[in-house]
Parts: sequence; C-alpha cells; structure tokens
Amino acid sequence: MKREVRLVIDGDAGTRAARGLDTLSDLLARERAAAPASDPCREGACGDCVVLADGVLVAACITPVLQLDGARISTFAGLCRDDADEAPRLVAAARALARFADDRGLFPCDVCRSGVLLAAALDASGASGEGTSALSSRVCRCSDLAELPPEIERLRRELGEAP
Amino acid sequence: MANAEEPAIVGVVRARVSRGRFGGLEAPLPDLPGVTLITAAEVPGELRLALHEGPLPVLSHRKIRYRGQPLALVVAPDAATLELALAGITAEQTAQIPVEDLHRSQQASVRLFGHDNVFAERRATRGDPDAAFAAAETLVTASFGTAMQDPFEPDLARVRARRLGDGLEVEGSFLEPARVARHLASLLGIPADRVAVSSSRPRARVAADDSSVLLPAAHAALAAWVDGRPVEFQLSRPESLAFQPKRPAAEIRVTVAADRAGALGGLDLDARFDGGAFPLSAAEIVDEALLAAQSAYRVRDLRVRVRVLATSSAPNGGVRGTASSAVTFAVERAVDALADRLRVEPRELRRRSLARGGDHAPDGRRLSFGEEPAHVLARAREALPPETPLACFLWPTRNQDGPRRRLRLRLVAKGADLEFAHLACPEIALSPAARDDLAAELAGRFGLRENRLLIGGVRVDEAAAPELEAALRARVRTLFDRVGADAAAVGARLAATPDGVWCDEIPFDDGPVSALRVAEVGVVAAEVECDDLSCELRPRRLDVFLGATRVTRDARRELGGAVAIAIGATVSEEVLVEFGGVANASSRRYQPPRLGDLPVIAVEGAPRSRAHRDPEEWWDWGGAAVPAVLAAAAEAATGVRISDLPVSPEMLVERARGRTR
Repeated sequence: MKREVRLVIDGDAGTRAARGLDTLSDLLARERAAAPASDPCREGACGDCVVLADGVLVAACITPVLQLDGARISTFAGLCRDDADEAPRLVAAARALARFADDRGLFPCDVCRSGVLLAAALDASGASGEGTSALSSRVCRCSDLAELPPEIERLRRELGEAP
Repeated sequence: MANAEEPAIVGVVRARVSRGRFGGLEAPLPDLPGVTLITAAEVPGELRLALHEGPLPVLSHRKIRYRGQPLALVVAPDAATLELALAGITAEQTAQIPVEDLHRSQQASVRLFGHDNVFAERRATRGDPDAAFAAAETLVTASFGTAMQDPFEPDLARVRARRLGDGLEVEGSFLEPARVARHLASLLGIPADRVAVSSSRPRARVAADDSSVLLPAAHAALAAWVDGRPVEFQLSRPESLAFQPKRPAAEIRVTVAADRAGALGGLDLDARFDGGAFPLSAAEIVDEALLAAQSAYRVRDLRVRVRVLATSSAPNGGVRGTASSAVTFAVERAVDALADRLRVEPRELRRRSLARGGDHAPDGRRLSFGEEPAHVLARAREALPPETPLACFLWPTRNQDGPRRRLRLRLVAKGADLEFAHLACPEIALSPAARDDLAAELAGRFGLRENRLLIGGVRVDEAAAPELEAALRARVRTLFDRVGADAAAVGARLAATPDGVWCDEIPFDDGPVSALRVAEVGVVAAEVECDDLSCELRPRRLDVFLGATRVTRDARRELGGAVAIAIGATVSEEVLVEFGGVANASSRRYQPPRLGDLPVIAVEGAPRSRAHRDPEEWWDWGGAAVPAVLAAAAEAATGVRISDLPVSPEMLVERARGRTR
C-alpha cells in the first residue's frame, strides 16, 4: 500500500507516493531525470548512492522513503545546478570540486564519484564538523584519491571559516 | 502486469549444494501472476559462454559445480513477487562429495577437471637447485598463505535488457559492448548485429575485463528474450560477494638458499591458486606467478611450479595482479628470513642479490634493463631510515601468445561530445615515441585533451622496434579509420543514450611480438602502527620507488588504487568459504579499507640511465610488494612472525600467545 511523503528533492518540493520498503534510491531512480543517483550495491557500502538528507550524508539504497517525510534531499548533481537549494558554501564547494575532478580526470571510473565529491564538499565547506572527515569514510578501488585532500584544504581556506 | 515503464525483475534459482546433480525444478510453478520460469532447455543458442579459457554455462543443465551456480531464471513483475516465486520453487539436487580446498583438490581423489584437477600449470627449472640446496650452509623453507579477496566492483550490479522483435537491446556496465554483444548473440542463436549493447557507465572498469560481468548480462538477455518483457537484473551485493570472480586464495611453499657470496643462490617455489569451478583466468594467473617467482633477484639455481586448481567454489579470476602479489609476498618474506639466518640486513641481502640486465626471468624472458634495479634500490636506501622495511618486486608486461593478443580502441562520449579514448594494446609492445605519436594523432583527430587519453602498452625491445612498430602503427591507423567510417553509428548511439561508447578491435598476431618481453624492478617501503588495544594493523606510510623518469598523474592514481587493494588484502579483507559457500557475503561483514584507512603514499621515480619510459606502465603492479612489506613492518612492530594474510588482530593475538607459551 502506498503512502504520501512530503519531500524536497534538489529544490523540487512535492509529495511522492511510496510503499513501505521503498528506498530513497528507488524513488530517485524513478525521478532519474531530476536526480541522477544509482545504487549498485544496495547495502550502503559502495557510496555511489550517497545523498544529503537534511544536511546529513545517507546511503539512499538503505534509507526507507517513509522515514524521510518532510526532509530536504540534495544529490551531488543537484548541488552543482544553478538553482541548488543548499547552503551557499556547500554549493560553492560542490561546484569547485566538480570542476576540479573534471579538469584533472580525477576518477578513473565514475562509480564512487558522486558520493566521494559530496563528502568532499561537506568537508570543504566545514559542514562535516571540526576535525571530522566525511571523505575518510568513502571507498575507492581505482585510486587513493590523494589529490582531493589538498584541494579540500585549499577550498576550506578560500571559503573562509564556517559560520 | 507490470507498468510498461517499469521493467520486470530477474532472479536466479541457485544451487544449494557445492557439487552434485541438478534433477530439474519440481512442478508446479507457484501460482503467481506474471511469473516466468526459464531453464537451460529454453536457451535457444549456445548454453555456454565461450570465454578465453573455457566455457562457462549460463544455466546448469545437469551438473552442479559450485554452490550458487545458476540453475534457472525467474522473471517477475516486481521484487515482492520475485521473492515469493523464488521461495516457492524447489530445485531437485543430489549432492556429491565436494572438493572444498586446495589440499583436497591436489589429492585428486575427487576429479573435477582432467585427471589432476589442474586448470593451468607452468614450470621452470634453471641450474641444479637440489645441488645448490645440498651445498648451501644457510637455507630457509617456509609456507605462506593468502586469502581470497573480493575485487569490489559494485558497478557490475545492474543489467537491463529489452526484446525488440527479432533483436535485443542490453544496457549495463561494459568495457567492450561489441564483445558482449557477440557472446549474447551466440547465447540466443541470432546474428550479432541484432544485439545492441550499450554501456551505462562507460568509464567504469576501464582496466578490467568483461568476463566477470558476462554472466549477469547473459541472464538479463535470456530473460528478456524468452519472456518478452523488458527486464532488469540486479546482482545484489551478497550475490556479488558470493558468486562473482575473486582474487583467489593461494598456498605457497618456498625454499631459498644463500650462495657462497652471501647472496640468494637457490630458490624452489611451489604455488597453488584456488581457481574455483571454472577456469576464468587460470593461464593469466600462472603466467604472472611464474614471472614473479624470483621477485627482483638473480637466482642461479631455480625450480618453480605454479598451478591453478579446480575446487567446488564459485569461479575465480586473476583480478589486478593477484598472483604477482601473492608470490612476491612469499618470496620477499623468505628473503627476509634468509637475511635473518645469515645475520645480514635484509636490504643488504637484496642489494647483493638484485637481478641485472641480461639475466632471465623464470619464464625465460631476458631482463632488458641495465643497472636500473640497483639505482632504484640505492635511491630507496638513501631516502629511507635504515630500520624501514622494504621489499622489491618485478613488474611484468602482459605480452602473451595466442588469440587474445589484440589491439583495441574504445571511445566514450558524454552528450554529443567525445569524452575519453582508450587505446589498449596490453599484449603488444609500444615504444614511448610511438605512444606519444599515436596520442598526438588520437588527440588531434578527436579533439581530446591529454588527460582524456589513455594508451596502454609496453616498451619495445629496441632491437626489434622498427619492424614491430611499423606493423603496429599500421593497425592503429586502420582502427582510427574505422572510427571515422563509423562516426554516424557513434552519433546514433549517442542520441539513444546519455552516455555512449564505441569500441572495436583488430588482432595483432605478428611473430616478433612474443619475443618482446620486458620487466622492471620496483621497491616499496612501509611504516605501520599496531594498535595496543585492538591489535589492528594500521599502515602509516608507503614509499614506492619505480624505475621511471617521471610519474604521471594517471600512473600515480592507478598505483594508489593498487596499493589500496593490496592494503585490504594484507590487513583486513578475507572472503571466508565454509562448506563451499561464502560465509561473509555481506557488506557488513566484508568491508574494504576506507579512504581514511589508507596511509600516505609517496611515489618516486628513480632516474634511469636508459631511454625515457612512460610510467603508465606501472599501473596495477606497484601494489605487488605491498603485502610483503606491510607484513615485514608488522613483524618488526609486533615480533610476531607473519606468514599468512590477512594479518588480522585475532591472528596477531593468537601468534603472540603461542610465542609466549
């Protein structure tokens, strides 16, 4: 049986219908044009489906939609859009990191890209919290992503202290 | 009936026994609307995928060779119905005695493959190792083990397929869609041009091979073809952990002896790898293992035997240098033990024993370097504190004989623009000059920036270069021309999908290629910390020294990935097999290292005296010595002798207790 859930997905507010065990990635997959996210592992392990739910990193593949009533969901792709509905520092960090990754060809494969860059944006914007690294919890098998931490640090300085 | 926009879902009825006979599905099929059952009898074409080294059945017709082997497919309109259907189906299975480990496979009392269960074997003998051991005053014999490891390729997970009249569309994460299409056409008994395969994540798995994703692709294709509805096949993470190819477990016995000069003089190595039920990469594994068997050293008297054995577990592959790192681990640990016995510094024994140009690798290839290994080791010794453990490794080319030798060009597009080009000639030699030339032509023709080009290949032995390069470059231009001719087809594919990929290949079977085998030496050093309370081993720093004039960004990244995989294999990752099945097939119980677990990785190219060589070539192999050096560092930090991987806290505690009793 389906129930209505109020959600804002990448700035698009509305009600969505979801069944009891529907995950956030099921929902995002249905709205793929608006919010490209995928869920290769469906166990919350690979980080490919990571999104922000009310500013907190969640693995969409293991997050039931019905638990998110009233939440604001932001994907990495959504953060990079012109009409991104998130804190300006976070949006600025996300866009800068996306450019950095593209310019450098940072990801040999794209599997972990959105989850890693979302975590990196949180770190660069100071939203992860002092002394906390969201990036350190991500997994990549192609690279150690050694170029990211210096860029995060540079961005952190450029964006100034978190309010 | 499913919504037209929502594909039906494919599930797999799998074998419950590790070895036995499949007697068919017990009727009747659960009375569920929209459920279709597909067995081997409904395969219209070839039941077996013709992989490089042997056929892999898409569904079992009669024999069961591993627990989890696909027996039948179920197509259902949604996940809940699929779950009900799978729970309601009973597959009749008669169990036979399985072969659960390498020891039982080697006994061959139960025959799984041939008369001795050996999928592939390579041997090499040089000099008289028995005489060397008999004459040696100092000799070490030791056994080593490495665990099965998951390659963690979650992007393989999802394949979609749709039947369109007498044709089929398939979308998944594929490296070479054209090759996948040929396999699927054979399965369905239709011409290859009626199967359109596109890659949903075309940049994923750039350095991998499609063998491991072919089975899920075949299941999706078969389901769509027989059922008629668009379908989606999602391999869950537990299924992937349990049934996708792994880096196989190995058991290695090594004897090393010192010669009169106090250098490594004799070596006997016997390595066995668990190939599982079907030989996916057995030849590749034994080739790698043979080459790595003397690590980076000159060994006068040598005997090597390396085998991949059949067992009753899911088929394993040779993912990212697994054989090289397992064998290097064993040999380097034995060299450390020999140094200890000789009472010399391990790095001094390595210096005395290093291979030199003109020596031969165990597979017969002549080592084409000059004094570079000595330069690399000297640079490492100079840069590192004296107590830092280090290990050497020999980096191989993948120059192989046989029909796999081919030249492949792959173009990836995003939107209407070409984004990425990969010219792969992994089994073919290519000089730096030829590579630069081709890169310039590729970039010019397609307007791609340098960081969007990837050209694989190896250095040509200078003596044979002109003849070979002329032939090779002629073929590359043929491929370039084919791209030009097919530009419209590429455009059409771009219009159909958000991401597109064009891939084509031509064989390269010229005689001189097989003679062009080269190898280089690298050194890795490590610092580790062992947590006093948890006994967890934490790598703090890895220094990698390569014989390379410069280390490109791409090479640096690839090394980082190889090191990450090697660290997982050393400190934590182990696929546990019990009663023929994977006991920890869950992301909660099997976790690769996170980025925060990785140490600082410093990569330095030691100056070379010979011509510049592009260090892209180092790629995966930089990880080969990481398990050996981490184990040496762990041994120094804890005083516990380490001969098996991974170095778990439990193992450290157990060994420490044994030592104090």
